Amino acid sequence: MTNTAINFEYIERAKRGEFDLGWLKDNKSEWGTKPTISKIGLTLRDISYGSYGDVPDNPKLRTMAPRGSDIDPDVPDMGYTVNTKMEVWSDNLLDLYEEAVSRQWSATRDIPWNQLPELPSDIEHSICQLATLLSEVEMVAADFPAKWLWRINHDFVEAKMFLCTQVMDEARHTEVFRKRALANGGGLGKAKAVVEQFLKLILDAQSYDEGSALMHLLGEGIVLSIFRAGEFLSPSDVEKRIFRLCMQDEARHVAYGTMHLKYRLERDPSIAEDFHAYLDKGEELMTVLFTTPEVIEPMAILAAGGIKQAEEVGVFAADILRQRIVEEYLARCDKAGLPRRKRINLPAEMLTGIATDD
Amino acid sequence: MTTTETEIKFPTAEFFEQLVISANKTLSDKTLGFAILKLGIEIVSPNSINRYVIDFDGYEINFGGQVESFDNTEVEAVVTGPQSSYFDMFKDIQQNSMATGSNTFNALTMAGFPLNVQGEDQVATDKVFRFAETIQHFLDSAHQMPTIVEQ
Repeated sequence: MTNTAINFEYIERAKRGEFDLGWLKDNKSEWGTKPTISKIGLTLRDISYGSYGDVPDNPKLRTMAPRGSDIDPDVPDMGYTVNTKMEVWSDNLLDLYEEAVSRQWSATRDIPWNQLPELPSDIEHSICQLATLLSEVEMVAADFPAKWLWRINHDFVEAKMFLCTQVMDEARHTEVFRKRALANGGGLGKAKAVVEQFLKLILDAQSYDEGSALMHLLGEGIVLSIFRAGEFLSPSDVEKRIFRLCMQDEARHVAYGTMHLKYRLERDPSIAEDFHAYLDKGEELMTVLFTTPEVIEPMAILAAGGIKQAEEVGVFAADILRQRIVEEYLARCDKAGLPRRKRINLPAEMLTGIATDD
Repeated sequence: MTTTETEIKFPTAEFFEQLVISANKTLSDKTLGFAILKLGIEIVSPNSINRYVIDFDGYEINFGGQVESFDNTEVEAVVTGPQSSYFDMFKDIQQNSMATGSNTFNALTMAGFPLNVQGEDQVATDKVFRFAETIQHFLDSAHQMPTIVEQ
């Protein structure tokens, strides 16, 4: 039992100048060691020296005490449920955190909102519908990590810190697309149940494994491709900047998700089938998304430059985008060590032009 | 035609060297954040292939030189495509002070043509787009350079 009673005797001794100083004498830290500071500043990697850099695979304690500190034996149990390193770790985590912090931006300051041109009605409608979809889906990528953050053992603090940057990134994406929908005389468009079903699948994931595979690898991979397509199809330089800034953030999240899965499977290959099952479910919904007018048609109209032209070239453009999304997703699965080319759960007509041999 | 104070030949090592100097002048304000990426640029013409290494090294960019091949250069990803597409992109940048429409780096590489980004694997390819805005800033810096002329 932790002693939380006030130590009046100590107060009296301290008044007489008789300090305890146990914290100073008995320190077990690597006193005297100094990190080498990187060119970009003092990074997490720089301070991962000696025992401070040792991240235990299975921490014994469930405490918020900083890893490497001299911890009281009677610290309370914080109730963490994610207590094995391979559940959250990735080899690129420390660098991605630094990158995320360094490359933050502001949806208020950094977008030249006053340069938005007046657009033809069909184009404005399309960009507003796309912005509605993105404002809707981006917040789940904040809700999911936020839901799991407090459950993750504090010895994996760098993973928690990275997920915090993701929460901020996604809040900003939600903000910037909401702002875009409302900034130019248009407004929010339709929110579809099928999209919500995909988001619910992520949010209701029974484990961090499941949610991370569905969100970091599948969902954010799709969104990264949509951001790239969005930049390509943008009707003005304002949207181009929005999509470029968002894609940078999203690519970091996908990099974490892919390399986390790789880390996970290298240490426990027996769990591969579980991941396949999560992605089977996710891909089923991905198929529905690819046939949802509110998802596909705005991009087809933007690609063609209007509704009229979309009848001719819009479907072709949507096909290229879909092909790109699926190919990049499968390539990430390959990298993670979870080959899904033979197993991918999409109808044959959606796999035209995609290598399905592992 | 030779490079003069008002014109610079493309593609040449001198062009990319100048582009790096031009980009570094404004990157030093650090607002875009740091970028760490070694990028290969491959420019294909009917008669030749020119390869250059650009090193995004924190808050500055270094020119890694013109190379015969990307072997042993530690580039993480290579952008490749026809000289005409690169030239049109830089002409657009010089005309508009920035890449516009389908001439942005992302737009040109989105579908894999006319330019393609190829990393060793998808994570390396994706890494390029973690720095999309910095790369665009780097390319847009051509607007501060002498007029480019194709060689």
